[in-house]
Amino acid sequence: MKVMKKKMLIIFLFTFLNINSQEICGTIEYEVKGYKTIYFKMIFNDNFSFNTEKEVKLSDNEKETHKSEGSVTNKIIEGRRNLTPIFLYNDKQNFYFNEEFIDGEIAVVKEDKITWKWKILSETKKIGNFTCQKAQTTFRGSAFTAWFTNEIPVPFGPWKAKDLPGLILELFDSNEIMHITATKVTLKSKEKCVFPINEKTLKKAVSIQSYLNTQKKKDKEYFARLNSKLPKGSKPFKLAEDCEDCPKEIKLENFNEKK
Amino acid sequence: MRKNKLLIILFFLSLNIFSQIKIKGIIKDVTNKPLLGVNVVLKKDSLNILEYTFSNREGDYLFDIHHHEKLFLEFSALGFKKESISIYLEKDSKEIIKNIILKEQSFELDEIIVQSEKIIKVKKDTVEISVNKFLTTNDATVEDLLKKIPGISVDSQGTIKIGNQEIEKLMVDGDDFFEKGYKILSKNMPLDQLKKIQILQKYSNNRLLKGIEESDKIALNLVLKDDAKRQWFGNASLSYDVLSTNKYHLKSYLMNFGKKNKYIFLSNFNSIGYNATGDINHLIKPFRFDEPASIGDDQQVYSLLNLSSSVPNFKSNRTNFNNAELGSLNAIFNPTEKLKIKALGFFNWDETDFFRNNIDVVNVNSSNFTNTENYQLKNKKQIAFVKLDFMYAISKTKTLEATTKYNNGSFTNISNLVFNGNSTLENLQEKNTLLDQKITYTNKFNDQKVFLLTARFINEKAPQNYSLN
Repeated sequence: MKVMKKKMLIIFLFTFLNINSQEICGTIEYEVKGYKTIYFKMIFNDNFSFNTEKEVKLSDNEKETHKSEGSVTNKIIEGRRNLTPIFLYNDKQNFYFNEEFIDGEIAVVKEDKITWKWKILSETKKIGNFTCQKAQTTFRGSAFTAWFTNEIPVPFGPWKAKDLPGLILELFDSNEIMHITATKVTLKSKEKCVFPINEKTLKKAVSIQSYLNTQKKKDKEYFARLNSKLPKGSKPFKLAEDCEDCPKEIKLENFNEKK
Repeated sequence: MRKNKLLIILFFLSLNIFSQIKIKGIIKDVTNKPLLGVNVVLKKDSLNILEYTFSNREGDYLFDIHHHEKLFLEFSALGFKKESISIYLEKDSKEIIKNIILKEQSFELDEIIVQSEKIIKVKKDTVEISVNKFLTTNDATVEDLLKKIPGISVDSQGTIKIGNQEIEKLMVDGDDFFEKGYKILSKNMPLDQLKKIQILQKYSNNRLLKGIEESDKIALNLVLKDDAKRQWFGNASLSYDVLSTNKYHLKSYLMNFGKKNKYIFLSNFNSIGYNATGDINHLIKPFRFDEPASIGDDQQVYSLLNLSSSVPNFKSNRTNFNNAELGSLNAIFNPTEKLKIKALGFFNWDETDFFRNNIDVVNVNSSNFTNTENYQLKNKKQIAFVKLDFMYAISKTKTLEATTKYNNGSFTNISNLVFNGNSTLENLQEKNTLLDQKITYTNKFNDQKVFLLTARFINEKAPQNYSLN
């Protein structure tokens, strides 16, 4: 009996060691070129990826005026009001991200369970030292192209992109609303990844649909507030989606789109 | 009867299903634990990915595919050794089971700067352009390439402009040969050893003055590939007038650029009135406008006498009957990182002849007279010139530059004027020797303060003899 116990102990120790030595933690930094250039840093291991903004700066509102025959379009880009960094968290089962509403409030959103179905092309190129392969897909109405490397076999990527048989080093959409490129990659073995994510915040996460509803409600409130400040007799501001003759904006994500 | 029909239909259906093949298996580690989230890629060959999937919690993977003969299965996961197995599908196979055990493999990457292929990089005052994105097979010279880069324009004369401003110089790996005469280089240098082009804004000739000197100069730097092989390139043109006057023009450039040493040979032999020294004048007397702590540039011995003729209103090369021979050798050596030696030597031999015949017939009232003038001028010129530059970077903030020039020129002018039968012979012999030494010491204290010390010694002798007969 005593002998048995000893054996058990030894086996236990071995498995424990094995699990430990498997720990690999990687970091990748992305440059996201869009309306403004922002920088993201993503940490990942074989199970999770956590992508977050590197430097957060407050910004003022910006106003753009477009004049065409008979009409004037004012575009107001709301500045950033709070310093909570954007994060995107992928644990392979669920996908969470946070988003700022027009009034500055932050919502943690649980993404719908979507798998990105990529078409992998035979085209390759070198990004840094990595041989990357091209892949294309559509996601919420936009066509995306990604360059991923099988040398780091994790299904993660920048922004919401995922589900490729390798880490995504470059991602852009066909309208070039967003172009993300990797700038730095580090991998360390025998190191545990620390994900600065609070389980409580994830529990509070709302669904995409409820997030969109709140967003619409808050946008309407904002416009109502804007309109209440207008001088008498002037035409009220309208939300772009509520007006027929407003120019259609090309969006990165169109939530009505099925694909 | 009925039974029979049914059977046939069933048979057909089953045939259809037949062409679908399942490939599945379980992925485990060495301890027999199923592995979750392993990339499984089904490949036709190394590049063509047919399908891919990830293993589930039980370590299972599954592909449903149409028939293919030969395929590869590739298994990869972070921290495990990549495995690849080839599978051969028989025509009648329905299911193929491939279980696999992945072995652990530690995988580490030091920080890798990726900077995915940016064609144009901007660093402070330097714009860096990778060449190969712009290259096509038709491009032969640097000029062809520069024409294609946005923001750079090259006009028909070969003048390179960035925006609206002409560049100050065109350097090769930071070494400059021609200053404003860069066209020789841009029109001739081939592209295959070229890696990138740098546009240096707010350029200063003295690198320590960068940021201190107020400068709006722009320079271009051609960076050679790290493994650039030395390579001779050049251009020679020969033209010869076969008809009457034995006029000829032979022009050649020969250059060799390596990472450490660079050589340029120039030669020009002509009798068509082309002023060959114009090509290299800037090498002898670099004209630097507004250069800080430059002294003695305006010191010169002026010659008192000069035999020259008034030239009729033609282009200068039409009245210049010459026979010029010019050869020049330039070399730059970088024996160590800190030391740079520039050497330049050239020899110019020129003989020009000028003839003028004048007949004036004057009619005033009833009196008239005629003046006949027969003028001949012969110039002989021999110039030998040597220039040596030493540039030594004592430290990051201190440099020492020494320049030595030696010039030896001898000029002989003979003119013969026969005016109404009376001959006047003029004879001028000049000798010119110049020794010019300049030492510049630069010490940069901080970002705003720099100490420049220049000492210059010029010894110029220009004896002239004159005789009149």
